[in-house]
This record gives sequence, C-alpha cells and structure tokens, in this order.
Amino acid sequence: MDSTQLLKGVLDAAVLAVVAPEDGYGYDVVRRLRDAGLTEVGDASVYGTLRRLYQAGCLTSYVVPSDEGPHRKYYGLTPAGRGQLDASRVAWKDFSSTVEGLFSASTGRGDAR
Amino acid sequence: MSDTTVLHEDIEAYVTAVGRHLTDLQDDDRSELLDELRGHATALRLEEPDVDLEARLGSASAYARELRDAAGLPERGPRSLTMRTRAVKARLRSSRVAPVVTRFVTEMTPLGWALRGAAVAGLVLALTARSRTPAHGFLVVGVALAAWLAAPRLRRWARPGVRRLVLRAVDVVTVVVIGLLFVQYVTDGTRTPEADSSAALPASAVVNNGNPVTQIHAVGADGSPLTVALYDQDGTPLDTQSGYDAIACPDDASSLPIPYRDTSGQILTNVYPLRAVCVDANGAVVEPLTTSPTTLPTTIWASPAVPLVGQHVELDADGNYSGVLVSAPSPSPTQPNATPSASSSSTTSGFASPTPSKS
Repeated sequence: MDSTQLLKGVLDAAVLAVVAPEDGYGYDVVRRLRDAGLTEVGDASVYGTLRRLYQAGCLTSYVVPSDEGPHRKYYGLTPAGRGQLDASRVAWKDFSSTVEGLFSASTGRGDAR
Repeated sequence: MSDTTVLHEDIEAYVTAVGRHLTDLQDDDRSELLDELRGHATALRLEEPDVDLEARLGSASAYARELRDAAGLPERGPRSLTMRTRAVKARLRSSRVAPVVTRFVTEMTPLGWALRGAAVAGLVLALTARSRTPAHGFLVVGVALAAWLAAPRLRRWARPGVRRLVLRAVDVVTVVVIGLLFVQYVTDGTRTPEADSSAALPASAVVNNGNPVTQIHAVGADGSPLTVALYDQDGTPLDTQSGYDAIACPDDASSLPIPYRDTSGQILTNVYPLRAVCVDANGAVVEPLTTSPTTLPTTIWASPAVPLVGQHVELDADGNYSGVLVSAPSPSPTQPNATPSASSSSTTSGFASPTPSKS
C-alpha cells in the first residue's frame, strides 16, 4: 500500500503534533517526523505544510540566529493550532477505529469462509 | 578555492535552481521560501558533509512542485505581464552580477541623496532667483552635502507610503534637472564661439568677428571720409544702434545720438558714421560731437577692372583676382581648359586707379 497518499492526509496533523511539545525549525521538524517513523515524508512537503499552517494561523514563527549557518525560523503552536490538533486527534481516532473495524470485520469474514 | 566555498556554491546553485521555478511568486514569499531552503540545505550539509542535495531533496523542479503542492500555492499557469516582470527581476537578482550591482547601488545611495538635494535646490533657485550668483552655486553644493550626510536618517524619515510618494516626486525632479543640464551641456558643446558671443547680442545687431559693431566709417578712394546710408543684401537698413552707444562716455554721462533725418523728418538709423555727444544728467554736453575713430586707414585704395561676361580673369600667385586678360590663352594639349594662370604671357588689364572701373 502506498503510504504517501496516507501521509498527505495526515501531514498537517503530524506537523502540528511534533511542534506541540516544543517549538522547532524546518529541518528539526523533518527530523522529528522521520524519527517518529514517517521516513517517506518529503522535505519540501514539510516546508510547504509549515507555511500553509502558518498562514492559516495555526502556527506562530520567529527567527533565531544560528552559529552554524543562516538564521533559523522556529515554529510554535498557536491556540488555533492546538485546537486543530485536538480536532485532528479526535477525527483520527474515529477514522482509524472505523477503518480498524472494517479490517477486523473483513478478517472475521475471511476466517469464517 | 576552499572546500567550504565549493559546498556553499553547491547549496546556492540548488537554491537558485529552485528559485527559477518560483519566479511567479511575490518577492517576499519567494525569498522567504528560498531562505528556509538555504537553511535546510546547510543543516543537511552539516549533518552529512557528503550529501548530494539533488539525491536527497529531489530535482529543483520536483522540490518546487512539492513545495507548491504542500503550501497550497497555485501551479504556474499563463503568466501576466506583472508576473513576467517579477520573473525577470527574480532572474536578475539571482544572477552572478546581482551582488556587485547591489553593493554598488548601496554604496552610491548617499550620492543619490546628494543628487536629489542638489536638484531640488537648483530647481528652487531657478524658479525664485532673478540672476545667478556664485552664492547660489555654494548653496546648491551645501544642500547636496547636507543631503549626503543626512542620507542614513532620510531613509526612515516618514511612513513608507508617504516616503515612497515624496521620493518618487523628488526623483522625477532630479531626473528632469539632470536631463536639462545634459541638454544644456550638449547644446553648449555644439555652439560655435561666434554663435556663442552673438547669442547675447540683440537680434538686429551688426556683428564683426563676434563683436558688436557700434560705429561704421566709410572712406572714399582718396581717403576722404564719406557719409553713406548702408543696407544689407535684402535691402534692410543696417542698424548698429540697437542697445549700443555710438561713442563711449564717462560714467556720469550718457551717449546721445544726433540723428540724420530724411526730407520728411523721419530719423535714419543707418546713416554712417553715427553722430553722438555725451551729456550729463542735466542734459549738458560733456563730450563734443564725435564721428571719427582714433585711427582710420589713410591708404588710398584702388580696384582692378571688373571682368565682364566672356572675358578671362587673371589670378595672382595666391589665387586672388588681379585683372582681366586682354588676350585669352589658347587651349593646349597639356592645358585642355583655359584655367586662369599667373604666368600667362598675355597682357593684363591691371588696376584701375584710383577710381573704381565699371568697364
């Protein structure tokens, strides 16, 4: 199964989730997502998502000088972003339990045959 | 070139390549996205010094496409004039000469302010001052210097909208003033000295070698002064009295013409030599009637006979007309044309002296 399409659907929630405990800059967010297991997430997708969420008011941003190179743009959750993360969490639970139920049912029917 | 430089060039090349696929975006959006990409690539390079950016991030076009997709930015469609202009500007900014031009413009910014100051001061003086004096020049230079010194503060003197509006107006003034100065410079460069000196003369002035003629003396063949009325080739009377005195008078006196009149009493301004006296403020004559210059040629002159149609002319060694050949030279094989010759054996009708011949 192509997980890329699944990833697209949950990338907003995933980005909000990794920024929720601690603010992070773009490269940092990519690394956190990959460390969490989303190894196929594209760098450009993360930056595009960060930008879109920022413009939607879900993220705040600030620049921090870096000794290692260009300034880093950190992102943090706004109250709106936290609200969206909570809503996504609920939606995901519903969605995943529904899908899980479907899978369980299909497995039961298969076993019954 | 160090390895670090090579690595940074590698990152810049990738960022620039991605930027070429985002030229339709607003400048701020585009540079923001590219700045983040630059930071990302730098962080990647720090973690993995040998990382191949294209292998890791995908081709520049793929990266840009994925970025647009995730950010909800529109795909590049048919581009308007504004978008095309923006794209050209973005391309120029990403070119190799861009940093040099930017640095030059930055360094020249104070000079731009000095030019603006000089132009505005010059315009104000041109509109208000009746005549130009050296003090005006110092004032213009002073304003230019002040603008130069104040340049760092002038950048932030008002709200951006107001500042932009005023700056545009000042820039228009500056360009117009510089343009006018350029036109004046070019015009001055193409003007001949004669035309230059005559430019200040009245339109009707009689000019000799660029200098105004204030008096004319006619002398007869025997050296005796003549009184004559003079006209130009169009029959217009020559008038040397436009704005000039016929004679020089002391500071406390002025020249008063004693005019000739025709039989109807009409004043004739073209009869020479002009007659004038110097009178003081009370109308008293302080210098007598003057008609003669201090030095007048006394040489009695002569004129060669004027050639008639069909006659041949004789020239001297300098090519000047010297007389009429009485017997015309016959054409020879070596001289197919009967060109005038100073060595002709023919007799010459020489100078008619002292009275001009009309034969």
